[in-house]
Amino acid sequence: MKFCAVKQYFDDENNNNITSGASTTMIPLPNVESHPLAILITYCKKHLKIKANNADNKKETEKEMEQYEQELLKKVMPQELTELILAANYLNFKEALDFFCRAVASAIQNKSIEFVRKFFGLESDFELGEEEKLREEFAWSFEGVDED
Amino acid sequence: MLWKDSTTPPLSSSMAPLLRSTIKQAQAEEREILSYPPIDLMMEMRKVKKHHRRSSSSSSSVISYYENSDVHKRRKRTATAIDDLPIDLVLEILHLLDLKSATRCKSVSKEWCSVITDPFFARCFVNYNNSRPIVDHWPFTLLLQCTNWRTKNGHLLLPLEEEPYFKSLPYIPPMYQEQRHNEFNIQASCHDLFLCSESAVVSDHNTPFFYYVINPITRQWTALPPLPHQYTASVVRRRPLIGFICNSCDILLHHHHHHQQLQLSFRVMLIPEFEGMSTEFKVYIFSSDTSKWSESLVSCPEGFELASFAFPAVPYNGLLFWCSEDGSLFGFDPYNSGCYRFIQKPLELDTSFDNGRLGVSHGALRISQISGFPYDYFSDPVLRIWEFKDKGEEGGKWCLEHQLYVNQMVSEKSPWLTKYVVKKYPFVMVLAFHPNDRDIMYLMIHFKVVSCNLRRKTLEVVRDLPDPHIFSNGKNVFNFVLPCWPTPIHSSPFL
Repeated sequence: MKFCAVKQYFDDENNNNITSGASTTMIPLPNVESHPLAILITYCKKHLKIKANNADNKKETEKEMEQYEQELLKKVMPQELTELILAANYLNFKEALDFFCRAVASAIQNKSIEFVRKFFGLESDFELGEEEKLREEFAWSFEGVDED
Repeated sequence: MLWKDSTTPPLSSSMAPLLRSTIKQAQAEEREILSYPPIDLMMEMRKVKKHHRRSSSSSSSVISYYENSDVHKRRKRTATAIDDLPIDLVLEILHLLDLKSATRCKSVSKEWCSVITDPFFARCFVNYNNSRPIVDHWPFTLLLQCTNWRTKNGHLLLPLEEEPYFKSLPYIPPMYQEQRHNEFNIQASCHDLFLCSESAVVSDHNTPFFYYVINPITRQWTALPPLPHQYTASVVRRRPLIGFICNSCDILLHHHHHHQQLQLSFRVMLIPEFEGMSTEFKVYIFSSDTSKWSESLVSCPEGFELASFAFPAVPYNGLLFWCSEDGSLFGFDPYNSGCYRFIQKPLELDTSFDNGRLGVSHGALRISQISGFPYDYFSDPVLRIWEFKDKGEEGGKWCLEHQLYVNQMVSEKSPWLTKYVVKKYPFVMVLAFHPNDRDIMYLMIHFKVVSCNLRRKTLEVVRDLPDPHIFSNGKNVFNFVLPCWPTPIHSSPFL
């Protein structure tokens, strides 16, 4: 059960002994948009499939998973990553959360802080001069930053 | 809330018409999406109704609630809108960055600044970095402390590498900046911290009277309390032997309590000067845990004689090692003020251990020496490196790892260097070992800092000294190794 948040619903179902083929319990997911949910579900299915295919060989699993992840990242817009992270976090889907966090980290690695602010939709709330002080104090961290 | 899939509950007549049409519209939009666990709309509506019991007409209040809800607004937003990530998820992302990027992110917003500065973040950062495969190359530089004779107060620190971290290194804490007539010097280094001294220049000798521990990257510092009276009362002709040892990344990992402040633990050890060989002598140890200096008597039967060149102690395996006059090593445990360890000098070591250096490379204790210079005019200078194969309790022995004739070394990029070392009396001095790379040794050749590859027997100029005469003393060379997260110091001036 990868979507740990909804695990309870499935457990309840088992307890109530519903025998019908498809599950009819409706699970509310108020905090998940449709688009990220779609991606998460395909990610999850792929993950389980790869795991099943390479039951014994852990390295193969990792390699295939990495290839799939690379492909997936090409199709996902950077801005969607934050939505995906929120969704994965809400669903308590650890592997996806780790993966998307890593993707965001590599997207903002070595980028300027203006880029980072734009990416997360944040505004600078520093007083006049405070930001200057920080820049001067950590001048070494501002060197070699990628151009926007 | 969202509803997908054909198994939505039937639209009941009790629902407001506006709501019904909205639902129908939504269903039409999302029919092509894969099957999802269906959402129980009725359950959601019941929740919403409970929330707005007060309104006169329940259905209208439901509509208004729904229309004003964030969810509804979200559905109308464009695809590029970004939700605000809660700070704990931001943490999940930030601790995966490298040190430079993570530090830079402090400038993004006030909230981010306080999160990154918090010790909890440092712990997550270090834990994550330590769980990855070992990266052997923490940024490292040698620092040469040069005194500018002209201005006397001037003080130059020359980092070898041009890495941006090291540009902020010539940092002097605010205490000193006010008192310009005092002299401020680095005495020892351990990981990314310096032990510095502030002393008044009184005739010929300098008696350091205040010590500081500084982290030049984070600009945090702490002042040590003044030394006990017995020490300052006695006349010292020259500086005492100094040793400095601290814990860095490891301390952050051994913390189990969230509330506890990260405590840097360090020791400073001073051995006041004594004449000749002694089997028993006084030492002064400062412990950061007790914040006090303490005096102890150390006895070592093998006899320790202060060398004429007072290098700071080399920390190795939790002990501080000094060289005796003849090259044998005495290691003292500043955490356990009686204990010491004696290591015989390597057999082939020249008795005049003048142009030699003790150091640690890749975790192993090493001694290097250039024999034949400057006293022996008849033989060619040879660079020898011994490594101590440590067997712990059973002792250990020295192993001659490298033996190179200086005049056989070649420089690929600087042909003048190749010609220089072949001359009769080349000026070559040993500076330091590379803390991670066993094959590299730093030398001073003709007033330039040169890195020597011991295996390939090649030399490369690493740094030019701006003024050949400002750096005359081999003991003013310090290692600076940046751990994965800068070691924190909590400023607590004792003055």
